[in-house]
Amino acid sequence: MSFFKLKGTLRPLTALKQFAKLPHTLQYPEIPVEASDRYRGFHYNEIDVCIGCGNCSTICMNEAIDMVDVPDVDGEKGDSGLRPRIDYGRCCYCALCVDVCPTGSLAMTKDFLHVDDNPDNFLWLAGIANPEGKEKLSYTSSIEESLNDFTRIPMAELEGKERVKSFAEVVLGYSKQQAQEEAARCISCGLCTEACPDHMHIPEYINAIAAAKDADALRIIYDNNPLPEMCGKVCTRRCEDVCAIGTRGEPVAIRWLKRYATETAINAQMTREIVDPEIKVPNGYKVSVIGAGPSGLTAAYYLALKGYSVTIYEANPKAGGMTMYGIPKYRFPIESIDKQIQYIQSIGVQINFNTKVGKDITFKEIYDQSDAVFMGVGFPKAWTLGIDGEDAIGSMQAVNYLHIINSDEDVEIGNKVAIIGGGNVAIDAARVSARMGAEVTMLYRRRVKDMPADREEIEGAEDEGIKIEPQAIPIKIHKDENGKVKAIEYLKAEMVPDDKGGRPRPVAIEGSNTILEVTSVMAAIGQQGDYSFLEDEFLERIKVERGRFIVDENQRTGDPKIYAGGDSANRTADAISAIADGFRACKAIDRMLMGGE
Amino acid sequence: MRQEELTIRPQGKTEEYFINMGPQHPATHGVLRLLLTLDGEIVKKVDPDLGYIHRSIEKMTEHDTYRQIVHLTDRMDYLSAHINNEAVCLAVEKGLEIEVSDRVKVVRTIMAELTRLSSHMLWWGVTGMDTGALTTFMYAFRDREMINDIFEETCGARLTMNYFVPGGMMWDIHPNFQKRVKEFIAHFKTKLPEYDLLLSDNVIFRKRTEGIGFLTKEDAISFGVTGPGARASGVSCDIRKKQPYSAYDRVQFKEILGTVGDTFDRYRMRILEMWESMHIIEQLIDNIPEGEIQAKTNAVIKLPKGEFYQRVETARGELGVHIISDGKKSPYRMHFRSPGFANLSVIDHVARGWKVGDLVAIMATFDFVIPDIDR
Repeated sequence: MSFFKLKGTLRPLTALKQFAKLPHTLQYPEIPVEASDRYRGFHYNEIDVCIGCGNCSTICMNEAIDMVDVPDVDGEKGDSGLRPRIDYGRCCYCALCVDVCPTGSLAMTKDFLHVDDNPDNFLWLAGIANPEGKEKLSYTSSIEESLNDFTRIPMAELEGKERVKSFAEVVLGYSKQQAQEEAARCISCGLCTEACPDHMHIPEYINAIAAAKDADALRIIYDNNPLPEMCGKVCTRRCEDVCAIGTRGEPVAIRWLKRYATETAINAQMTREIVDPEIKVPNGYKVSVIGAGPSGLTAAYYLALKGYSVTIYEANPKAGGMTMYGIPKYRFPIESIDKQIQYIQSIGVQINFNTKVGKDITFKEIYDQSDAVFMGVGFPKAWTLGIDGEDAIGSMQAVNYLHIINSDEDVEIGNKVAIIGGGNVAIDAARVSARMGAEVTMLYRRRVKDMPADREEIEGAEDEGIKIEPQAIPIKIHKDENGKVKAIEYLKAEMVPDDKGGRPRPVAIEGSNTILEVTSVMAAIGQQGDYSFLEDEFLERIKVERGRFIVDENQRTGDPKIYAGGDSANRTADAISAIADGFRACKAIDRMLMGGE
Repeated sequence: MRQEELTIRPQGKTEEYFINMGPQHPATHGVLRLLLTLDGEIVKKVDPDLGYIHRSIEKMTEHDTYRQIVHLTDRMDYLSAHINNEAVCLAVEKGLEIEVSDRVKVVRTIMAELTRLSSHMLWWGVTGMDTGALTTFMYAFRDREMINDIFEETCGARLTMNYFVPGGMMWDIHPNFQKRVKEFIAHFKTKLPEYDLLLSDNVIFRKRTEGIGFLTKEDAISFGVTGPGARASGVSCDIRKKQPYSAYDRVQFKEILGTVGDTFDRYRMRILEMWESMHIIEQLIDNIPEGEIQAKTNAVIKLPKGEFYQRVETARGELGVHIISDGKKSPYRMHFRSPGFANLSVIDHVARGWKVGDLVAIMATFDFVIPDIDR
């Protein structure tokens, strides 16, 4: 035997060194192993924070995450009511779901041990199945490390001092690159689609913008909104309120992205070329629409596409309704609305301007001529304050004031204006007055944070030097010897909690009378309908309750041939709800006349 | 036992027959089926039959985003998970034309070498087991556990780490990382000689491996064999030397080359590589530069149109990642040139004429990981 062979025989005996040592394997009873602080084990989901956006389910390439209905969670605006259920037969613990969670509710825990002989017990509703996981979080989602981008691409705006000099549009719009970057922030969860009254296909057109397919985006937008440029500029954007990204950061600028997409078509002809809608052959039916506001225009546009012969009756010389006459031009320029109206006319919608129903033509005539009638008549009449001295010269309604200004007419307001109210109309009237060179004070009976106007509108007004006087209840308008407004007298109010659990009520403080010298007073405390054009026989059939038409889910009134939408039929009273009404009514009218579906 | 010694044949006629080795066979280390044509105990032909663990990873990549793809590669050669992750990340970074920070480069290199150590340890354990020495398995797993603990502490997972992301890494190294790696190196430096004592010098093991299953340099090249299996035959093919990536250009190490090309030589390569890996880690562990953990990338990465190729040296050989992008968020086609597949192709050539028992030893020293072959 060679030396080598002897060596090779003896050397392995070194293993005997280990003979008396403790084993490295675990002994029974098992000593529990604590995982490291970063261990990616089972998931934990904060059920109350989660909004059920489903981003975790989308990113999971193993399809381990299903979004399931959870009985304890109510779906509401901005919450789908679904929660992630994780299949631990599929999960690979890569933690991408945590990386993309916009709310930060989803996390991973240090737990890794689960033994069961029933495969169904490996389907866990994270957070509900393992509430104890909260104590053992390991991998959590932080804003800095998240794959979501929580910062919005800032929108360029005119400076406050520049703005008041003219009616130039304040918002300047995104460039192509900015729009693409902003669109890339969208996670396509679709909560916005649910929140939008019109259920616009928001993730789809945002994705198209992100992919630099602006024309596709515009086509998708025109699927169910014929006034997108108006929405892109002045929509109340319920979508952004529920945006999943907005739960921890700034919501995706959905409105500005829509605005960007619509601005790629610079005129009506170009819109026509890009959208290139299919217009069906005329089917012989005739539909009349009363009022060329958002709801009327929407119903008219989609009915015309379906081959109906559509006529709109509009009392004013221009279409657009409240969006034309109620919204100041620095927010919604006249060229923009003209472009959209021209496009709608170009596909065959007939608009009879300066035709007031009830005066120039009776409602009965229209009713008899048409196979269906849609009323989008809106709320043209403003509420009055009901206080002394309202008849003074220089005391007016804010809507009327805006109407006059938007019609390019002149009205004397002097250099000191008081606006009563805290809604968007009040802010608009205030900002317009400021542009007319007046010093503006807004009187609102509650606190600034209670104001129903958009937050950025309020900030915009403050930037422009408008003074907001909260908790002020006007009681009297003082006149001078010529019957002109001299001053407004108001009481300071204190907020008293409501016993019934509602929001706090303002209660006037006795003796806190304050007199503010002004040259004009504008009331912006709401509007109401004017249904005097309807003959009695119709008013009997079409029920009116609390100032609004009663309609069913298809916008149909008590008369089977008459449909209604917009402010005069829904309580939300904004443009996008009106568009949604028009779209619904169009589908219902089509069903009624053509059958099917 | 060498073929030449088998000259005395029994009288009479013998007949060839087929036998299935696998798919469930401990020596195939996974679900690989080898269809053997035998004449007595002599292997006449080896016909590998694949597909038992095929998961369409390449097809799956075509509808996953680049971030999602990374974790799929954990499951190819799971013993080289970090290195596979790194390959995809490097390919994507090439496409994006971003340069990761020095910190990321160094940490990636340390992690890759720890992975190589851990893979070679496991290989050493099971090679002993395949040739009849059960103790090695216990030794190897004892020491490998330390690396797994280091991975767990920093990466949050022990086997399928998914720690590298395009542009950097998931999070920074754990504060204990350097300390524990140094502890491990100190520990393992005393243990690796024991491995030699236990197995490398073992006369039975030597008999089972020395002079068995030759692979010539020319054949290794023509079959596309890479990794320690090829280097044992004298083929210089270490990507870390040929095309240095990450921090390999700033460290000193030897490319281990063999001369004989038999089973024992292939075994020896890996033992020596472990020393080199420790040497690389020692050079870097105290010099981890400061730097950002992740380069700025979009959540949804889109590569420009074009083709991007990146190769790395895994514990088994050369892994190539070939991305063909059409500018979308998922690759148009993604191909992995996995070392296991090419290495398997040579098994028939090497094992012919040897006995079935030798085939097990030959396979062991090519170190197959079946999910890497099948993908």
